[in-house]
Amino acid sequence: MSSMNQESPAKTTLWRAADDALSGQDRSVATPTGPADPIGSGDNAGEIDRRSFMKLMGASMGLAGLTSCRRPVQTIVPYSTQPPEYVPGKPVYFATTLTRDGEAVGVLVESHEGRPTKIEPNPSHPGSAGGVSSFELASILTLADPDRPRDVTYTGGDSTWDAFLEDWRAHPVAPNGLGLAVLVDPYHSAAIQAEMVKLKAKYPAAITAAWAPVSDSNIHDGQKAAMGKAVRGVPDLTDAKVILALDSDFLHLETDAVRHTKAFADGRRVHGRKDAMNRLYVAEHSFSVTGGMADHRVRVRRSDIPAVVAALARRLAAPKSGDGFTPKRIPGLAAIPELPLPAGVTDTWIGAVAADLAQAGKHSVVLAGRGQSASVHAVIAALNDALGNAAQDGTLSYVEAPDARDSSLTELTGLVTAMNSGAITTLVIVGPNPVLTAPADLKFAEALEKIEHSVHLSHYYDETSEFCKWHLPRSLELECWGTPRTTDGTIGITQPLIAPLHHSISELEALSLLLGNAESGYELCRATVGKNDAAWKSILHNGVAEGTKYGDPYASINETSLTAQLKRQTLTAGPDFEIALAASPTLYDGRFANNGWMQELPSPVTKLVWDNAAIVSPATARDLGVSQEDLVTVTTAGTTLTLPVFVLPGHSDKSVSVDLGFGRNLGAVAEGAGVNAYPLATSAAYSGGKAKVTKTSGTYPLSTTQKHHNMDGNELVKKISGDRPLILEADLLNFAEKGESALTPPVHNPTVGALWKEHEYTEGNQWGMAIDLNVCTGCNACVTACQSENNIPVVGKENAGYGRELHWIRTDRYFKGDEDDPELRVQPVPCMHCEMAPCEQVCPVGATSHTKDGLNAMTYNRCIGTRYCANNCPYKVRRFNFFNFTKNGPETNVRGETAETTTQKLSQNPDVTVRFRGVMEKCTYCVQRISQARISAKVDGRALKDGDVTTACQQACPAGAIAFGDINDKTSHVSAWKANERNYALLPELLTRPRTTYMARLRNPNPRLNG
Amino acid sequence: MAEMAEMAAATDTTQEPLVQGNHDFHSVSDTIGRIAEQELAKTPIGWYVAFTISASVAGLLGLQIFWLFWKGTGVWGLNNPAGWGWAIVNFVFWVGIGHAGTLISAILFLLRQQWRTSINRAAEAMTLFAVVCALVFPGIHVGRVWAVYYLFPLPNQMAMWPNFRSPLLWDVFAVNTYFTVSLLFWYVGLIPDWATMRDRATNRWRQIIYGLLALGWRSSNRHWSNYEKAYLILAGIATPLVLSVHTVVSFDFAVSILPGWHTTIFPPYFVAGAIFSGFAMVITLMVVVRWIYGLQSFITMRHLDNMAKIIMLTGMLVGYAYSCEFFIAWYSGSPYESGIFLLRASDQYAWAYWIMVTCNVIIPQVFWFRFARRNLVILFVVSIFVNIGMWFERFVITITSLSQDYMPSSWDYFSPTIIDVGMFVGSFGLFFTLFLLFLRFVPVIAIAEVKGVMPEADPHNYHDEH
Repeated sequence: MSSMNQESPAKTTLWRAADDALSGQDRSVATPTGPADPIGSGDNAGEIDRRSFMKLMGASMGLAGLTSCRRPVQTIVPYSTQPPEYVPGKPVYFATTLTRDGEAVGVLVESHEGRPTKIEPNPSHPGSAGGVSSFELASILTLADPDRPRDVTYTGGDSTWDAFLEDWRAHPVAPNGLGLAVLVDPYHSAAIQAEMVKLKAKYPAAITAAWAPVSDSNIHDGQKAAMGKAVRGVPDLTDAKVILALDSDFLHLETDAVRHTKAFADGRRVHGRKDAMNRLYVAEHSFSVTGGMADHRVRVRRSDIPAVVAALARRLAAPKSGDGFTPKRIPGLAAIPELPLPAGVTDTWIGAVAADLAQAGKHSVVLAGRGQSASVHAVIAALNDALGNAAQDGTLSYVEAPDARDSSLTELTGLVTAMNSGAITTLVIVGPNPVLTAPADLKFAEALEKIEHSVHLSHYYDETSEFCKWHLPRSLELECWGTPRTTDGTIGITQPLIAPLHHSISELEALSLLLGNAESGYELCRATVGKNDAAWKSILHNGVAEGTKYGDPYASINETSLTAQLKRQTLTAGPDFEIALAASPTLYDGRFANNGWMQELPSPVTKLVWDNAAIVSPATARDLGVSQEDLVTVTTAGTTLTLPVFVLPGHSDKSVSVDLGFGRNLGAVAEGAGVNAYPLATSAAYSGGKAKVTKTSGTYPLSTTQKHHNMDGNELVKKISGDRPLILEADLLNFAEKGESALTPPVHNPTVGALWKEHEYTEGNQWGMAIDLNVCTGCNACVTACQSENNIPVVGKENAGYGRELHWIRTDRYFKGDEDDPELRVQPVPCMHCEMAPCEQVCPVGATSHTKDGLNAMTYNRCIGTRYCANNCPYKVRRFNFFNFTKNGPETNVRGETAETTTQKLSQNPDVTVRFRGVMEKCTYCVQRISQARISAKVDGRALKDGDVTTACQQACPAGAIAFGDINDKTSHVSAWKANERNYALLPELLTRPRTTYMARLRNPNPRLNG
Repeated sequence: MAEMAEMAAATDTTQEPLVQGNHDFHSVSDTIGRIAEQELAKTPIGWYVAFTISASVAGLLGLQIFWLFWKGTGVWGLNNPAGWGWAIVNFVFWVGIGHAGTLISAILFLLRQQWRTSINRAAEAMTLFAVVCALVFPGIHVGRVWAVYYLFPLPNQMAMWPNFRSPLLWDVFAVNTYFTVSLLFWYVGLIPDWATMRDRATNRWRQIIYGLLALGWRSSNRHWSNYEKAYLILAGIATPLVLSVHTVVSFDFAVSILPGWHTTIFPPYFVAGAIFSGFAMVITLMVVVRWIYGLQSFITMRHLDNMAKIIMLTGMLVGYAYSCEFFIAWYSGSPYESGIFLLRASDQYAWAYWIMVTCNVIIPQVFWFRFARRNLVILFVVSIFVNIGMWFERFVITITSLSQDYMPSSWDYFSPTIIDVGMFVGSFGLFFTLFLLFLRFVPVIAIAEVKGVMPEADPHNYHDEH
């Protein structure tokens, strides 16, 4: 069947007709799909003479040749009855929810003629709050990945669903489920919970386990221990005034980062001089997005965080003179050991943070990351309780989450023990990839090989699939139904945007199949959340079921349980040299390893693409005698790996960080990208622990989108580049007093005018953008959104190494201050759409020109690619197609496919031209969206109003850092921003008059720590 | 007597005769014409060896151009800040070399510098071939070569016109005009010599070909009168072009807003540099040619001495320009301007900068000494250094400025690929192939003009001395 399908209709049609004519068969049996008599020779039916034969063959050959000259012929079939909601060329939007390990983000998916092309935020979903992250945005490309499994495989060979079902029935599970084990992803969904309950009821003796490498299980375990009951903390940063993040990248990688970014940004939005803003303290081992936003950041190794927590607890309980707050009663204080303060953290710092937190009371919050132990989280829960922020109207609420199941190392260990003992005959893995992600000491692969019947359902044919007898393709969330809940309990809907592209089923359907019910995902979801039609319709439309948020049962600390936890697993000081393993900021746990957008998305701080590395501080690099790109061996209890060094200013000393998720063999994109660091993780130290790093011979080239050279030791380079007025900033108090003149470094605004009469942009809509650097975290969601919206191809590691990446918007990263402990500054840079654009004047063929609504436009058809415009662009935002990247990108030519036949083109936006090699391209302010809005407004007979046009970057930004609109409309959002005192233009002395401007960054330092 | 002559020469080189040795008009025609007249079978083996090597290298250039067209501009080491690389460096390098020929011919002609006669033909040929090499690069340099005709103002149904504000367009016109005028000037100067060759030809084919090229020249007074006028007019047209072409090439850089490019000193600086490199290339070639073909009587030490002086002068002019750039960068108070110059001299491209300064400013200082100006080995070695230095000058200007401009976030380092190097080498192959063909088939020295500077040509003067 599959071989028939793969033949192009054109090919079958032509040759079948010729066959029929040649064999002299009766025309009436010819297939109705093509003309039986292509040259219409009519007479002499059933016979053919030599002349006709030659004609026919000649024409056939000619036509066959023609098809290969151009693109393959495809049959376009119009609707016989046009569905009312479909207008060809007009996208339709559907609300759905995308999840990642128990986190749910509601999105709207743009669909063109039944093909999902773009992920956009769903503002009515609490997990999105009007923003999305790169992870959600990139799922469009994963959907189109040509390396996804297309059908069932048995022991690595091609098979079918029928064969699998036959085999499954031939080996029935024991009536009580003895010998059956089911491993699932952690979930937070009513429908899955219902299936799991049914499973437990039907097969009481079956072993079930949930496992994911990146999970909040330590956080939840700690909170459970502190409260004495199964509750989960749900922070809401909207009203937080003082935030302390301990090894917690809550703005990027921790659960609910999108929602937290929005709330955090809202707490930092400063419109006038009088506005207040929150204050962020961060203690972390490596530089994260969150660390970059900190008002005060200290470098503390992951394993030294317990010492900071212990010191903070003691300080809150016993303030020193000058701290100015009343002592707090910290539950379980007696069980918290006294640990020496780690290097970098001073007593003053602890005192200042404690005082600030105590002062903020219920408006304070302490967050710790998932890399910390359950005991640390238990103490954090006690601290939050003592600070009063867990109160009814505080920043933290606790929910019970009955529909959730956490990842559990204990369950996984139990499962492996059972597998090794021979107690398991049938193992069904619904989702996880334990061969890759299970702690190295569990030796999951060895245990798996002992299982007689093993079935693996997953998105890719991955490491675990190789060790299982059967592999079943799993549908992506864009292809299936689901009812995920957000952390606060709100039920969202996941609805399919397209029928599964390949022969796949969803997790929910797999569980149902396991139960012998084989119900569809739709039925299962409908049964859980859509009991009546009106509710169902509403949830499908809005993407969320209103009023399903969990209540806030105030949970108080159970001191006995807390103390018991601290006795069981006490807080300890760190080892001599530590390793910290964490989800990659781009590939996450490795699920995006075969996604070109994510591989080429610069890691927010290192700007590394296509690789992971052993990230160390400059001082540690000196100690080890290594520099950038030198190879080192990293040894843990798990294994020894060889990795290239990346020297990151601001990283903690005597510590190495390695991102997980790289070095996977999933397909053409993932191949050769980085090193698989999972083998370094052990049960005892899954997120890192003691490690040894030694220099070894050789180097390995790393590709970064910002060159390392600029932050090396060369003092002159630092001096030359350091004082450029690119990112303006001020301290909040200073700004409140002096306004604009507080901004540093000073900008030279020239007073000279033009020599000739310039074009005045006073008519009609004049598009402009403003970017608030005070809330931008540098998370790169804008970059992926732009890539998705504008069909920006991936260039691959080698070309990225040359600096040929094509991103139309980039986030520039600068370090400020000394090399060991700098601050971070980020700046998203799209095209400035200068009114006096230097690029336009130098193009010899006039391929870039100005539109009357103020856009700096590119005419791709006219561009001959002299690259003079890019040279003359002071902002360096123009991007050149050095090769035909869309066609010859790293993700094509898989399985002998070409760009024309691969599924990859499914991800492309039909509203945007795909650029050929040799042309220049750059940010267009999403001109296709402007045109669409203008057409809609014209159809409605009205003028465009503020908010009609949103650019892709603006729309995705979880921080709401980008304003876009008509600067001629003085009431527009963007005009208000541009009128703000913090507004400034980049390089104004060049008189380019950019339409994109920036709002200066403000810092809110604690006066006690300043200076 | 010999001692006295030497002493006289040492004190006053202008008195040195322009043609040395015992030559009369016939022997001049014979010595020079003979080179191009040899039967093909008697072509020196060395010529064949040299031609084979040059033509092969030129062929490699062709293959690499094919590869470039097939794959895309990415076969070069270009990146996002450095949109222009070796191709533009080579273009400016070759255009620069293409300056000396017309300068020697036209300007020295107008200034009645009679010593130019024995070197102008070869220098003009060198100009043409260098401009041919230069013209290869902008054409293949664009991303979509099949649309390169958009650069020309061709009437079309879409009424699209090139952008006359772009210096790149000025460049198209400037270089093409220069090439056309140089070709005409060279050809017109060749007409009497084509006729000499025709008249001396011993076989039918030569007679026909040289006859056609000679355009019916019969050496009549009327012909000479028209010829002299035409030559003078073309010299008049070519003279401003010598200055304009590199001025316009410099506009490609100077009119942009890039620190390190946007400087008003560029036009004179580029012209001085072009003359500098052009004369260096003439010396490189002439030292070899006069030795191989025994033309020491025509291309005398006096010629080489004069050219060495010009090299020293223009070398110091570019040296002045280098220091002036630094002064202005500091004086401007612009952090971007001073930044790029400090970075050039001290950062990632410092090696290139100091190669440039050493080769262009320091090494030519040996020409203060007369023995150095008259030592063939020193002349040859210094001229090679100048060629290297001038290539690096264009490298420094083009690539360092692009790599490190306003936004430090975009700063990058340019690394050439094998194709970058190969095309540069290939352009030399093309140049030498053309030059070898010139040596083989065209009179390498302007026979008619050389005769004009011999004492016999001025019997009047001869009489006066008595």
